[in-house]
Amino acid sequence: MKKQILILKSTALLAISIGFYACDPNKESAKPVSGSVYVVCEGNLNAANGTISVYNVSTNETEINPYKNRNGVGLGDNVQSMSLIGEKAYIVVNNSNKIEIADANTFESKGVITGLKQPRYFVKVTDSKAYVSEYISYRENGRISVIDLATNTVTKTIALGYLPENLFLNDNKIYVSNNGGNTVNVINTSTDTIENTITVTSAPSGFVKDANDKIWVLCSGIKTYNSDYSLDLANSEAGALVRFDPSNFAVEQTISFSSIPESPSRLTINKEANILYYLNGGVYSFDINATAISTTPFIARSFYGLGFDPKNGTIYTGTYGFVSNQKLIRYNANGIALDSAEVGIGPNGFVFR
Amino acid sequence: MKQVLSLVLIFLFLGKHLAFSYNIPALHSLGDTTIVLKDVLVEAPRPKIQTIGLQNILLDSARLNRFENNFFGDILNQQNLLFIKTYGVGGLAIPAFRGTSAEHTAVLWNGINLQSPMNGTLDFSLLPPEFIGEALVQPGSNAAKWGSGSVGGTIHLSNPIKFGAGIKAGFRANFGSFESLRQSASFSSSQKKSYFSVKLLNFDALNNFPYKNVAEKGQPIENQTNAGVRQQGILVEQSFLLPKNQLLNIKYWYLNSDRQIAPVMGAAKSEAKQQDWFHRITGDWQKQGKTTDWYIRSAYFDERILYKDIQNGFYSFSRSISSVSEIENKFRFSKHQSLSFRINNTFSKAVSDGYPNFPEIYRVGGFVTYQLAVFSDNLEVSATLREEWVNGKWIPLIPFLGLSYQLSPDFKIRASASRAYRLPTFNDLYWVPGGNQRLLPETGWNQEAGIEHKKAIIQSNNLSWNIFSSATFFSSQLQNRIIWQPSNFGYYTPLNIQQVWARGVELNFKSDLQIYKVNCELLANYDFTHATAEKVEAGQESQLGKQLIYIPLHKASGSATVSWRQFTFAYNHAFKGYRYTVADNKDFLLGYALGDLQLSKVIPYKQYSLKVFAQINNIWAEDYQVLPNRPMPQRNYLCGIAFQFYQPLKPLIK
Repeated sequence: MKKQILILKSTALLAISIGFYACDPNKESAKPVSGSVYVVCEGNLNAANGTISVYNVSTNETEINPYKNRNGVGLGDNVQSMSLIGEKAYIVVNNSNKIEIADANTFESKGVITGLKQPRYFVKVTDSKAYVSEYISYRENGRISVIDLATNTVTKTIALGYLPENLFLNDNKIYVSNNGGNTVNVINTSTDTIENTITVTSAPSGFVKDANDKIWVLCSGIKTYNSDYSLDLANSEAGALVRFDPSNFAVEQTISFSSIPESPSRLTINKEANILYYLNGGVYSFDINATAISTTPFIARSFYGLGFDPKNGTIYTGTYGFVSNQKLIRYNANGIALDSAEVGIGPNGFVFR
Repeated sequence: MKQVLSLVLIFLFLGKHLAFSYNIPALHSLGDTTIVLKDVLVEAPRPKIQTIGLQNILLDSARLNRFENNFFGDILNQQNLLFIKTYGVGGLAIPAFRGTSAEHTAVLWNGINLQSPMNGTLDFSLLPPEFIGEALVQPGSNAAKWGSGSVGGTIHLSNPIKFGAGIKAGFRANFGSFESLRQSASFSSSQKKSYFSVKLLNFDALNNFPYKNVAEKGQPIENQTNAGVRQQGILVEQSFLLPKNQLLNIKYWYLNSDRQIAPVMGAAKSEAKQQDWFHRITGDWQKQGKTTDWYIRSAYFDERILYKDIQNGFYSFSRSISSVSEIENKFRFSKHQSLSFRINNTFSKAVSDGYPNFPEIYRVGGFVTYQLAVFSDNLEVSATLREEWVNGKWIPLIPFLGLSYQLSPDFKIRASASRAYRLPTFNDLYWVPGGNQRLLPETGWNQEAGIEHKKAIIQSNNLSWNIFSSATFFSSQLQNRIIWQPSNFGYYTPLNIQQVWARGVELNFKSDLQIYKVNCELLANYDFTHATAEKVEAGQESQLGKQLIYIPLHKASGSATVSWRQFTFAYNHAFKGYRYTVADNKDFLLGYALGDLQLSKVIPYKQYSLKVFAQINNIWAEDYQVLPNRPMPQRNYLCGIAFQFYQPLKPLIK
């Protein structure tokens, strides 16, 4: 009988110790950081954990999720992009079908734009209106919704091509890349109608304008596969850098990538607007006067996000990962790593103020 | 009959065998009441799935049905046998066993693995408790016997059959909160030489439960949307006790599940739906001789999934077909020594939008097990060695060594060491883009040791008290764990990259107390699981040494069941500790505890019995999340009836 009592006693002791052990760990309270660099961190799809992390250049500190820290709730599911209009941040939350508006300094919530379907990018067109590109769905063509910035409501929509992605404002025209096709729509912003359509190559995404006032669009290319898992070359197309003239919408140059499996992305440009940067495994650079694509990376490391600080020429990269917080790593104009800081999950891009 | 037999014989390429006798038990539990029978009831023999050196936790029908549960995964969560990650009520539910993931938990139905060849997992929401006769849970790797996937543990689902029990018919219905209605009917005819059973299921739940939306400003209380579940299924079993002591079993299981895929909090409203439907057929022939037993099993599974998200334009369809055949022979040298061998042939093929053609896998696996009992059978040893040939390539030898020793009448110790492996799935190999055909199988080692104490403390007519307790310590390593990681080409590709070390303790306690006509059963258990990433991909070093995500460090449960005459009161309390949600352990979900309570009464009348029951789930109204931002219901209610008719084959003995 003694033995049983001993067993019971030790079980009780064990239960008590478990009670102590099983307490939840303390959540670290985040230190507020104010900064001028915003990092778009997508988060995991269907986990609603996307964030905008904020980075302070002088202290090299980040705050991972200032929006949640200030407002008590997160941004939503799949944070795709962010735009600044004055002191307000417009944060496009793709799978929550909304744009959250926050104070760019304090991250206090300032409203929300709803009624969207798979929104992607948001751009201010005039002081009173903005455009947002929307996929709508993978089985139909997308659109742009015109937003009244005074009321934060959708005033009208413009039908577009398949999977409209990046928006680029130039000379009162908005250029939209139809990522699911091979065209760029040109929209007259005073009439909100499509004025022209430029045919580029497969899967156009981001735009930049160079020192010669020409616009470049990066096309990622398309890959289809044979039944033996090899690439179906006849139905695939390599990616390309395409340059067109915004004065007449004529494509002037198409510089193809050497092999189809490459998937270049995240086009950006330096301060002087004469060197393009993009991701293609590593970070690559391209002189606007070059005629072929460099095969040696500028920075030989794979990243998910890329940005170029127009103020001081610093290159920002976001590491590729979706199971934990990632890092931003900064490089100088020569590709030498400067420093790094922790950011949220899946950092895809940077916004500089 | 002869035709059936010859067909089977042709099918199984086998001749006649030796005579044998079935064991004839005197006591049998039939449904809710225990009936003493004459020596007519014959329990069909089954290949022994208990493994020496491992914990063998049997969930018999009483333990499976203590509470009304709509999903098998809820039973396992309730009893703390493993952690089931559920995406919502009736949503995808996948296990995490001893710090591993769903692909590392082998689930076998009558000996055949149910894990999908496409993603290596099995959705526990598609396992209706009504169709499971009993379940044996074996923590720890048993890959030498059960093959790829048996890394964290193995769950054996079976439908034991009995001959000579008579006619039984039943109907069960329960009504619950959130417009849940579940009906099942069963009929079985158990004759001296044949057994036939059919079970039908119809289940419908809207799951529009209120929850606090913590992703919305002001945390409003909202009703869950797009979370309905509908299931219809049938299980048919036919068995024959054939001349010369042969046994033939055929089972057919069909299930159709339609469910809505609920959105996470903070995401847009969803209209996504998923339909899962499958046909599973198994047939086996067995013959037990004086020295030699033969088992031949064959199975054919056809499983389909259709996912539709009209709103976002996503559609996907996938289908897999698997055919399994195996032969097993067990030879007993003496009462204390036996040798078994098995050869298993598995062929799987799949169609999916993600694959450019129809991938196939053909595996031939075989093992030899030697079992020995010495020192008056106090020491039992089991050694197994497996070899497998997969699509033309050999897998490294997979050994298992287990032993158990009866220290004293009360105490028993056991230990085992084994190698584990898991083959890459079709998705890992062939998914476009990203599939990597150069992947190696994941391999690992599992070591464990345990002690069991069992004692009848008091044994008298009006008073009896039996206790059982056990403690198990385990350590397992997994190398070459397949992780999908970003490639240079803008998509994910799987690589053999991670190394994981899981170690921990599992404690179990059971007490059965009977005072006059009051029966009181207490169950308590506690698991500590520390599973860490020991090697990670370059650039993600912040995950190194950290606890794997969604693996609770602590989990515990306790239950009390008191029955008096025909009344039963049952309470279950299950606690799951905090789980990290990100691999660098920077964020976590709070621990939670769920209490469930049930009251029931059985009203017998002649050959009929009626059970009425009422149940409160999550009685303490815990506001909890199993996975981030997935709403779960607070307190909810359920009540129902179970009606049974029983006509024994021969008169009962009082």
